[in-house]
Amino acid sequence: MKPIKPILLVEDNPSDADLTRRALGRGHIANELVVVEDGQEALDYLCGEGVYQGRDISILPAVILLDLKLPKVPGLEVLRRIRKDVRISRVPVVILTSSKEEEDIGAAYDLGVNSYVRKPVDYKEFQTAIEHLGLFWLILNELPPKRDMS
Amino acid sequence: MFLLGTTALLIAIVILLPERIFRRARVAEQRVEHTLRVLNSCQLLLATMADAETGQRGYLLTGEERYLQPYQHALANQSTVRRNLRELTADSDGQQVRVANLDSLLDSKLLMMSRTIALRKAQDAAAALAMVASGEDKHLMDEIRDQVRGLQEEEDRVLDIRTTEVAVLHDSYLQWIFRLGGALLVVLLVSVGAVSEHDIRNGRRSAEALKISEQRFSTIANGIPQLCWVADASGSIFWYNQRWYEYTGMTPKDMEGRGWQCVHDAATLPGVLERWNNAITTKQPFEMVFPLRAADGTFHTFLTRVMPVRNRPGDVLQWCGTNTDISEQRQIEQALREHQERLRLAQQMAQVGAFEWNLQTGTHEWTPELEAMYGLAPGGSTGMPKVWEPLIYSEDREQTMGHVRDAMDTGNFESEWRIIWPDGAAHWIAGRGSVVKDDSGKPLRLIGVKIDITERKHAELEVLRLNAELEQRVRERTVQLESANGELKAFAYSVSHDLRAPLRGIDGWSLALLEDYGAQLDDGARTYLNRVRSETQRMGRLIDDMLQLSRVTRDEMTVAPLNLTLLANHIVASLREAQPQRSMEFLIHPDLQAFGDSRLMEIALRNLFSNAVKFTGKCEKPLIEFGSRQAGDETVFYLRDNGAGFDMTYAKALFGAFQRLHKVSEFPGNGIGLAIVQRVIRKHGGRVWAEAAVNRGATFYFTLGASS
Repeated sequence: MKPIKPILLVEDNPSDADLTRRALGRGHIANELVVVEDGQEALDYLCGEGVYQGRDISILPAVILLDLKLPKVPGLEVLRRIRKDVRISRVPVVILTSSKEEEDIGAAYDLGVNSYVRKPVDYKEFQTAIEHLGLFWLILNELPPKRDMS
Repeated sequence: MFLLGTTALLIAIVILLPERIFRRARVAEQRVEHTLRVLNSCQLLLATMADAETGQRGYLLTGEERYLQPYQHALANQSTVRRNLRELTADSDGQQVRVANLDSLLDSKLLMMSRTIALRKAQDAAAALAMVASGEDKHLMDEIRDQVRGLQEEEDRVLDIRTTEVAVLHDSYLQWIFRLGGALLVVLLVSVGAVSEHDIRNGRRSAEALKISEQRFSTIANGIPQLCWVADASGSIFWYNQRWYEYTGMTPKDMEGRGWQCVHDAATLPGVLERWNNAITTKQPFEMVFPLRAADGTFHTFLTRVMPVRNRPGDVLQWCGTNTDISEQRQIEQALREHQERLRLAQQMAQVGAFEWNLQTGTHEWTPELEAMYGLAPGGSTGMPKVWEPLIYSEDREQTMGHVRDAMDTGNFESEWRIIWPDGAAHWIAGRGSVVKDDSGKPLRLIGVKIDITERKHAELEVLRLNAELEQRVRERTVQLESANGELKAFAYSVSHDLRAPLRGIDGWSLALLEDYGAQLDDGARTYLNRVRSETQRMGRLIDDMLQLSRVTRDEMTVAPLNLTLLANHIVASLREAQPQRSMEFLIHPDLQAFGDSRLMEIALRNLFSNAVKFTGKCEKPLIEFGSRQAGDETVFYLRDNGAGFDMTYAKALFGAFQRLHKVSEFPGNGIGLAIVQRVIRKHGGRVWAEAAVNRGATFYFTLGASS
């Protein structure tokens, strides 16, 4: 059996983070949820740097849930760097944001995002969206092969 | 035999002795005739030159070729006349000198005339007339007359001598006759008879020559366009040419005595009589201008010249007069003067200065207006070479002189330059001109006009400065607007993201409370929590609508042909899908074409259709119609429903944001939809308005302005 990969949630709003965690739980998604609060921390986690120095970076997240409006490094910049770094470029990234700006959606797709989900105010809708996400990315989607890093 | 011998002897004497005398007499007579021919040639030459002058002046004044005829005719004849004169005077060194002088004068005069005519042909009447007016022309003619008079006087003197000579010869001949005595009378008579016969033959020949001369004279006199006449020494006119009778419509009988006075104007006649009588007294020629009545009763102005015909001692034998109709010339001269005066006034009024630059001599002729334009004293420029170039501001000189050089090729001069007045003020001058060239294409003169365009230039510079300032202001304003737009966008982004996050929290945790602790709450608490959630969600929708409203305002439009029918059908399909339980009838007219931004128009139409769907919610048979009608040049689109309608009293508030005409409990909404519609339509340059009545439906109209 494959090791259960974590889900990386990049979200600076603790309330949203907790609601996301709750929605995942109610959707019976058992993956570990790693929450980081800004863009830099997300990159550090992925690359085993900063506070994540020494982390086994061969364990990549099953999916990254990325907010756009983030402290330090904004979401789209995080996405751009992920796609440029061959070690992590194949990790599925889902933008999870309040923004419905067309520019943001366009830019995210240009940078190679896998999916774009708008966080609705209605928590029921949000929960449905999160459940669908979990189903798609963690169960249905066949992930790309991991690169040989040796 | 004696008689015969005597006769023979006498004959021999008569023949041999006077033979010498006869020969000399014949030679003398031939000389007299020769002299008369010289005098005749002189007259002919003067007449020819007068003709040439008449033709030249007529042409100069009118520019009409037909006036040139006498000139050309005279030009063709003059060489023959001159050659004749030269040949006839070949026997006298003194006369040859005079003829040579005369030749050179004639050449000058002819050259002068041909120059003026050439100028006139080159459309430069003023210059041509100026040449004539200079007096040189007249001076030449006077000198020619002087020379001819010299020739005539010499010939008169010779004629006198020769006539005397002939008389003396005749006397000596008679003495011989008387000396031979009475005895020889018979023989003498025979001889005399022979002599007489000779005389008769001679006389007959003279009469014939005279007749031919007379005919020649009358042919010429009747052929010329002038009126002419001959009077005796006392001034009594005894002959008029044919033209006189044609013009006056009078008969020779009318003209008897001083009958000519009847064709004069009573006002000018006394002056004419005074001059005429004075001429007769002083025996001097005279020239005068006065009117003569034509056959039709109108008066024409005539230039009259009267010349005395003198014999050797200078006694006046006859008077010859010509009257030349100059009324047309007068009118032309008058018209020309008026025209020049008008031109001068126009130039003065318009402050236009005119110039003429002689490219051969480099001299300039400027009008007083032009001198004033350059800040110069009147007359300061005229006839001065290189007066212009140094006055041009040094920075503009090269360019302007370049334009002058271009004009030598193109024929047209056009330039603008600055000058510095003596007081140091800079003035802008604009000049235009034409190059006058000779037949070989050599530039002779540059003529044209100039105006002071200082004020215009200053205005132009001011306009340029204002434009630059305006552009700068526009740039600054654009930067400001872009910055404001950026701020608005950042604000909207912030609203979208940050304002919604807490709402999501309120809704999420309310739901969590309901789900996790619902069992511990009573119905009232659960109802409150549901209220919290529904209010939160309403706030969420409000934020979304406000964002859409702000986006409609700030987003750029892309106008393209648009099929509103297709767009409406698409919207209707999605509305039906959202409310499948409702039965609604839509009547979408086919082929509704417009120009607009498809995204914005979809937002507007979706709002209008949603409204119609919403307000027909309580109808039994909802009917929603979308169509168009033509109002003048304008296409008016309309969306009509048979729903709740509204009270027109409040129609003004209809399109304001957050304005609602219905209770939320009846028809939910936040009052932003129509505000969005109005912004979209206004952005297209169109208008939107509504007509409705309570419970009788509403119709929304809109146009798409110039973009459709």
